[in-house]
Amino acid sequence: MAITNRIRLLRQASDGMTQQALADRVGVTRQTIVAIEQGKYGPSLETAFRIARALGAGLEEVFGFEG
Amino acid sequence: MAFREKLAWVSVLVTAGVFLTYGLSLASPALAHALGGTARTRLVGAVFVEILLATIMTIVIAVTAPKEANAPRDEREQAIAARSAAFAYGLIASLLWMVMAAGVFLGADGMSLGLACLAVLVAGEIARFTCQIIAYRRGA
Repeated sequence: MAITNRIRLLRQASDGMTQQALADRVGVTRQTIVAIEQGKYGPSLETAFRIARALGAGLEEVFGFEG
Repeated sequence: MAFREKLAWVSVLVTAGVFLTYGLSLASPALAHALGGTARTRLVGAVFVEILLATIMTIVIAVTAPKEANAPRDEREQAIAARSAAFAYGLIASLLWMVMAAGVFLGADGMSLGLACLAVLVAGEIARFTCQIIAYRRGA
């Protein structure tokens, strides 16, 4: 997938936030967070912004584009 | 396993189990005798049993995961449901064309056409939930 992410790194750096905790803050299921982290699912723009906000980082700190 | 994946498994297994049994009862006089009734009454019974079983199992699963049960589908779950429904629609439409052709050109009787349509619907539902399961298993 062309869109990469650093969600796992940022999550672990954020006081060891769990996938479930991030999912609860973003409003998706834990399985969706797993799929996003593994690059198997590309989130919508809104969800991407919510993830970035939950991790206290900018959108481009969390997601990258290779192409 | 995701809550919605569990529901998909319930739907596939209950639908396949109930209607496979019904289909076999049409082909096997021994099974038909064991189940009792006529083909029509067994069909009504199959629908009733399917609804009952699916409802009970869904309630059991929901009780074990109330937070997930009450939460709406998230965007990924909605995407999986939409892709699965689109595939199932295509399958149903294709199979129904074949059933219609069989009716028009082979002169199938009403009961046969009705059962063929039922088989198409059952196949469509099984396909829809199977697509969902595959998507959840792949983590996509």
